Amino acid sequence: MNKSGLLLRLAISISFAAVFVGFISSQVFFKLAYQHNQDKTQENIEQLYDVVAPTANIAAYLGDQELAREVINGLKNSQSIIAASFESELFSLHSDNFLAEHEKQTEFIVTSPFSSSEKLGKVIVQHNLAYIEKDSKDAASFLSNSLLVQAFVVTIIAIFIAFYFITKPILIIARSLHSLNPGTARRLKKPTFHDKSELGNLVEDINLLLEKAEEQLSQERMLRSEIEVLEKRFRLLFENSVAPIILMEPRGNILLTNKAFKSLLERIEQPIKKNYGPILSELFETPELLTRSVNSAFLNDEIAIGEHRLKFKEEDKTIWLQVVVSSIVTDDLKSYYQITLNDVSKKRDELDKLSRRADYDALTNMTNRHAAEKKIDQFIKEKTPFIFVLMDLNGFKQVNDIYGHDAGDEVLIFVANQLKQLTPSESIACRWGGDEFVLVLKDMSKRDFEALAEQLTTRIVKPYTLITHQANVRVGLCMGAAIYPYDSSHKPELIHLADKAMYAIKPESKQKGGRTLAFASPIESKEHKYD
Amino acid sequence: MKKLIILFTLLNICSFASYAIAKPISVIVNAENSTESLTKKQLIDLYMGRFVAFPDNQTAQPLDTLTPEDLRALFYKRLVNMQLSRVNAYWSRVRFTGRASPPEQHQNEQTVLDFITNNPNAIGYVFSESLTQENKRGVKVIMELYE
Repeated sequence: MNKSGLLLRLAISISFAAVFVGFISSQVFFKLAYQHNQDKTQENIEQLYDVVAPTANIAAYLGDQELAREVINGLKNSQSIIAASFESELFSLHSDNFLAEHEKQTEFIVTSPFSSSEKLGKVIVQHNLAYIEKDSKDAASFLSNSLLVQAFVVTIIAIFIAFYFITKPILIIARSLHSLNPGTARRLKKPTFHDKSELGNLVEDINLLLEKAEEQLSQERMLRSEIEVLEKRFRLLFENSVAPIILMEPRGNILLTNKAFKSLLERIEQPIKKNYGPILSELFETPELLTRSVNSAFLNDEIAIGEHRLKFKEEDKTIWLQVVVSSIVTDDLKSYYQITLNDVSKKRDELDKLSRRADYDALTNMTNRHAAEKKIDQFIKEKTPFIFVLMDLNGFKQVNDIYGHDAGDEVLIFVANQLKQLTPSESIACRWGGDEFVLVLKDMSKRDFEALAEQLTTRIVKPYTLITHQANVRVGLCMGAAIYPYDSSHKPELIHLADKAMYAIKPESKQKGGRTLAFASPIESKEHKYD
Repeated sequence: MKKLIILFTLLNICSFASYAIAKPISVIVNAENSTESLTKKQLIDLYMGRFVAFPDNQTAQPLDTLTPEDLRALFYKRLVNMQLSRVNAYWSRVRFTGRASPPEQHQNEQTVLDFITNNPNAIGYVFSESLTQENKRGVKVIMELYE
């Protein structure tokens, strides 16, 4: 049986109450019974004395001790009386156990049988208190015993009733409730005879609750499944993001990262750690710059966006990352940083390439006309002396026509390589456009240039084997040069002079062994108005 | 006034009637007895067996008179205000211990008178009206009991 079960509790409570009530009532009853018995004894004794009074009167009247003894014995025969004495003018008698002092005694006046006003002595009757007490106790204990029996019977009946009308139905309800899963359509059944009782109401309430629970659970299930789908998508988004995403505490403790971040770490061969300093600053080459820019952005309530170089390189290639840091404050006022990294190295490379393309010729990978002109402007600005050489290929058009553009390109690249190789470092070799090239030779003497030109001619005019066509081709060249500031100090004029000189020599250059280089004539140039 | 006279007359008749029933009883002793008178208490003590002696300590012998029938009953009624049955009960109790004995019983007033005349210690009682000049020559009345 369950130690704190209802039945046991009920039984114990009733038993305790019964014992308590029994004890108290037996105590009270004893007091009452004692008092009652005393009163009754007093009455008994008085009645008894009434019976013996004539004899006592006669005994006192005649001084008859025998008769007096009769009286005493007669009184003593009563259970209520423990001792008695008879005192008269003529004699004094008392029973053996008569005490001088007694708690309870009654005195009767003995008179003459013929004159009730004539007092002849007295009879003292001592009450049997022990008997009274015993009698009272017996009565009280009988009462308490019967109360005990009654309590026992009542307890048994109460337990029986409680079991069949309360505990058993509750147990049945509890058992079916225990085996019941909330959220299902199952409901509790009312116990028999409890359709309208409190237990019936309880079952109704439970069923109502179950119904609500079912509704809520189904709603929650729907919500949960929606959330699960959403979560899956978010996870997909997060995990498969190409950009590394990191969630961290402001102090730098990383809470969440995605695969992309891990692969980034692998790329730069860094161990996976819990903390890389605030905003991953340990990973970057300029941590102060990073933190400063982030802090200033946060001060302006903006999302911090910046491009920063990683401290570590991948195969000697610098990695540029766009760092996007946003501060998140949760409902419970906790602050987090969400960091998204974007690899912008490629973009950077492309930008580099773009700026290159602006200055270089894509095919020959040599400075283009734009860049060359910029350089010339710079030289003129610095007043650095140079020789401007304009060069045109002979026979290039034929190669193009016979072998196609590929072959032409190949020839152009070949020529460009010769020019690049022979041009001093400070000077510029440039593809001017089509099959025209320009050399801007810084600080070069006329003689040195002539040697260079000869060397160039030798190299370029020798037969060249086309890789694409396995055929030997031969191109010629002619050059026109103008010297700054000797010939002119204006760029357009220099170009014009060189161009004129080149076209002057062109026919000669096409012949075998003919000159390929001509210098501009300053006098001519002065006569000529250029635009 | 007439009514009042009738009432008084009726009252007188009544008192006369009771007087007629309540014949006085004379307590008598031998003429030579030195006792001249007794208190009622002394007479009770004598007749109920407490002190069976005269005031001068002379032993007394009380006598009961059985006839006329109502004499004894009247005597005890007047003496101790008891019915005869109760007097008998008293004696039956006392006789049990043998300490006292009831008065000697005599058949009639004449035998009582004769006994007292011949016995100086005796004491008895008769209706006062029964005493004549002749029969009260040897006795003397020491007390009269009325209703």
